[in-house]
Amino acid sequence: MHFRQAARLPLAVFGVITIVGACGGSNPSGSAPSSAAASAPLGSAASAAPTAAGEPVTLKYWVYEGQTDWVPIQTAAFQASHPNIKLEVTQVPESDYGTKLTAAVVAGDPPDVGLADRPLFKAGKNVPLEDTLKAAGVDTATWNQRVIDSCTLSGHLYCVGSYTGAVTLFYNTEMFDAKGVPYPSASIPMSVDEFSALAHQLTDKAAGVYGSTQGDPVTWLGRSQFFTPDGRSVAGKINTPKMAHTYDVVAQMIQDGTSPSLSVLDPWEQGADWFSQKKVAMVITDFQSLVKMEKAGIKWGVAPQPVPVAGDPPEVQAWTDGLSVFTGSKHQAEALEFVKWEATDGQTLRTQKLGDFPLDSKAAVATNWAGDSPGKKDFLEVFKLSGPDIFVPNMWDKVYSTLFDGFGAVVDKSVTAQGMLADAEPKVQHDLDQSWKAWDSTKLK
Amino acid sequence: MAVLKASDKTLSVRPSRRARRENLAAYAFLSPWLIGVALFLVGPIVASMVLSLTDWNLLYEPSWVGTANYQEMFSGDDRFFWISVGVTLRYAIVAVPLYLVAGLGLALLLNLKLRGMYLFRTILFLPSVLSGVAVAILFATLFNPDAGAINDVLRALGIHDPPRWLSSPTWALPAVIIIGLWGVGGGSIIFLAGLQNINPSLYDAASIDGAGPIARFRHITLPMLSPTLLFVLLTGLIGAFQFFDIAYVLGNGGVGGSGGGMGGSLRFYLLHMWLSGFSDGRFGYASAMAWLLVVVAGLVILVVFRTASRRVFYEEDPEQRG
Repeated sequence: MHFRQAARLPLAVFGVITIVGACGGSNPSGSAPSSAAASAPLGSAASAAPTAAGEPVTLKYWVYEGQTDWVPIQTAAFQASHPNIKLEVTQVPESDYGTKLTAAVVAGDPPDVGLADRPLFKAGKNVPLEDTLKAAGVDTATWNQRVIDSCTLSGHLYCVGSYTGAVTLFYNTEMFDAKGVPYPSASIPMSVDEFSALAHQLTDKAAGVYGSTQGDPVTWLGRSQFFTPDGRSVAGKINTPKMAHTYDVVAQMIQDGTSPSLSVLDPWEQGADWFSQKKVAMVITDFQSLVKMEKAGIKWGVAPQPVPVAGDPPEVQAWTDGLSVFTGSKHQAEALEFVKWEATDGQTLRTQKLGDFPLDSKAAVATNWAGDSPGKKDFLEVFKLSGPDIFVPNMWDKVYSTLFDGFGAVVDKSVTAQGMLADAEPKVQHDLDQSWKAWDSTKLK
Repeated sequence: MAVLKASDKTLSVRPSRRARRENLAAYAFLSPWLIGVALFLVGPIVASMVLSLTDWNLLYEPSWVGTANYQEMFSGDDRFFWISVGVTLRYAIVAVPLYLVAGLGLALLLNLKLRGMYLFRTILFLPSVLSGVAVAILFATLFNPDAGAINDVLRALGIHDPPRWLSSPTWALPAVIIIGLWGVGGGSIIFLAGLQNINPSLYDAASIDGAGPIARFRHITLPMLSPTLLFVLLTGLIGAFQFFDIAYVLGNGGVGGSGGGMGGSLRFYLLHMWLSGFSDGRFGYASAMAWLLVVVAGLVILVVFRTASRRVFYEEDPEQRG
């Protein structure tokens, strides 16, 4: 074999690698589009050309794995109204979503539409949406402010959703009636002592019914209980007699069998199931769990989650499914069209089909979302307690981790609540300082 | 001198055109592999070394920080660093010898001439081919402190307050070591191969000389098996330094948590490195941790090689000794 012949294969391989390398890592234009260009109103020449010409476009759409309720309805409805746009759904496990998304963004091959958060917004990886929404006549002023906060950075809105999620306390009204216990207020949160007393009254060990199930306090107590308003300090928040008492009371509920152990039941995963099976009288969980509760025919009511002591400010946590368009998208116009649809027609459809609370509180009133349901009417009251959010970078993965571990140790009686919180405070502050340092060291792009 | 002259002459001779063509063709055929190694192995290794001197969170350009990442590890600024070192060392010190002894014991049993032995060997080897993630999920259920089968058995045996295993800072690491015993069949197969390579005439000769089973094991089996023992020890140590998948799954159970078990009880070095990169977005720091691991693991292996050379016996064929 002659050298020229022998060299063809490796040269070809090298050539392919070079070409692939040159193609990867950037969008087709070779640079990230400016926000103005990216958020150009639909119908502009650049954005409307592919669909107006009737050429089919496929959008890569990344969702959390297991969203079997909404995503099939959503994709079918959108594709029916936009026949030239196909949605290619990729399900990614929630625990790996951030890692995979960041890797895809850095590799220059992000999805067209996906769930994004502030670090990506700050790095300039998402397209501002306000112009698109404005052009579609959407007024975000009546959307939940906490949800808007989570999607906003430096005055730009980067994500929208189709519903409003919230942490709430569900209770089974039939169980309350059977015990002759009055329902909790929808507008004034109980203290943890009142909550515990109520749970004890409702517990029926002989019948296998727990009074309540609730996760680690960090999952449902308001952020203002842990952080100063700027989110940069826990001084005077964590290591206090009030917080120690809260941890003691909640741990005691698990120790005495009023609540199931968290190793048996995770309120976020199975709490709603047990509530639907009438094994639990109260559960603090995601309001979206309502769908399965209603399917099971449970008579329910809803109240704000407890606060450490009576008179503490109520704080109902809220969120949405934060869809965002990536600057690396090859079909930004179509992706923006999908996100716009999500915030308008999609929101209405979701409310109609699944009964979820819409993103726009005006839409809830206009569509008579609550109808004759006393529980939903209660929710409208509860939801008024959702104030502004406190932003803490890397809160769930890093800042809260010491407290997660600490609660487990208190439940196991290997440490007292006061001792755990005294030990945890400097660690949490250390992690908080590191998270803020990392956040502050990056510049807004 | 004559030799030198001859070699000088040889060196001065230019290869023929045909030989050069053949050499070039050889390199051409090798080039896909060479390019692959350069791009996907050497490149990332060099890149990680450079990254270890930077601060990089993927989304922004890396910024040069010099040796700050290395200094941070030892300064105590990373409160999980020494915890992860401690967890990994405790695991290596307890688990590696335990698996070595258990694997050898199992291999000795599997070396017996019994009916159905092939079936036993297959059954005992099966767990070691299972995915670590699947094994972790299985054992997370078994070790559940309230509803797991293991504590059910302990309660039935009269232990009213059994360990909380993976939910306990004290018992999490022992639980993981116990889980590792599940895969000891992998090591025992290597021991079994070593046992079957021992010349039976050695045992016959020892028996004729009156050696009992213990003496035969001590003076024949162990010395003849010493190269295998060294191999299993080294791979076990490397495995301990790289322990990740089971700790990742077991340390991430439930909502939230530090991602390394209760109070960092399962925060193995590699898991801490992964969390530093992918959870905290500190890829420069994670790269520095990776390089420290390479250096420390290399030193440990060097020490094992140096000290083992006096105890490892390699059988020599007298006829080939020259």
